[in-house]
Amino acid sequence: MEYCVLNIGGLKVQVDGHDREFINLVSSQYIDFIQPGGESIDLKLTLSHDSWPEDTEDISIEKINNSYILAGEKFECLLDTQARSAAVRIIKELTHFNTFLRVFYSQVLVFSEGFMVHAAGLIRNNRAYLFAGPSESGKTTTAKRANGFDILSDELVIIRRINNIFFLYSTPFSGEYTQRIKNLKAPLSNIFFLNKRLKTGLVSKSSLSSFIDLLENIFFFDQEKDSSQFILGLSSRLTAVIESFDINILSYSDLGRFVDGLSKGAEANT
Amino acid sequence: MDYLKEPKLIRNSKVAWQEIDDAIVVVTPWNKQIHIISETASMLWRALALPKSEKDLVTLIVQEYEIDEVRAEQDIRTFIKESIEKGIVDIKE
Repeated sequence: MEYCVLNIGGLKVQVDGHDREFINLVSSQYIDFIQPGGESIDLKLTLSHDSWPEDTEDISIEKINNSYILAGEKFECLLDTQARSAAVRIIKELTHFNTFLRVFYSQVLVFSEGFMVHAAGLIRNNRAYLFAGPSESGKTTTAKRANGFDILSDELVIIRRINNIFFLYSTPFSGEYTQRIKNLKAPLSNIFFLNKRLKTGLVSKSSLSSFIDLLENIFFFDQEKDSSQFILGLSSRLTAVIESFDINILSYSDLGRFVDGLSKGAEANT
Repeated sequence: MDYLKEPKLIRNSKVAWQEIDDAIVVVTPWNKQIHIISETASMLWRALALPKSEKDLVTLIVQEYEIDEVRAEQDIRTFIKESIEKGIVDIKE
């Protein structure tokens, strides 16, 4: 059995498989998110390619007792949260593995005080900034204009609460941003919701407005009440403690100067 | 109508919800829709933790907001109709 260990959002997943070539492909595709072996892992994921699941157009997650069945185009996965293991049948192509991995992490994060958000993420001076929005809202534009920042993603980032502090993590799940993305995290400082039609550049948001906009951008498929309730609870706490804004990113030619101005005197979230 | 035979309403137990800034945000997990319940209607939402008839809800609103019963009935019927359509409130037989 061949394996590699992925570390995304601080969750270490050992990926096992009989196909050395594919495990090597996974290792090279996610090279900045590969954990050296020997350390403790959070979950074990076993791949098989011997039989193809039926094509499913939509992604679905179904809970059966303490297990979840994650299904999508070209993959089907049984996730056992108690045994901290998962088995997936998946077509042997990195594109499908990448789609599966996004869905897989969106689900396992719920058990680790976290979730994934459609957003660009930036770090500057050990402070993280979230720029959330749907397709075509300007996430890639934000990443490309962010001189003097570390880029966490231009498509999907991870938020986790650790010891009551919200951290923003990079992911290997990017959109059109082609530069290398490192495995990074920092305490979340501000949330911005991208809005190209905003004339004033920046508008402060209420907790309620921020909460609703955040929910609309969370990447999540589980249809069970308990998981949704957890996400609501975590999101409401997040939007209560983190200042948020609507922003027209095109109004700011120097993002570094802009966030430095915002951060003056502000403490990291606690 | 016999009060005991009046259909009772109750929150759908399959929805997730959160109170925030005096409003209530309800999510229907099966379609990921977000529903916002206003500050006024949030009182009805809290009351529907237990089965309530339309008449119970009208009485509640009349007492709390001191509005006339006809107006309260109209508002409650709108709330009930919309809530059932969204799937956030069930009729308990």
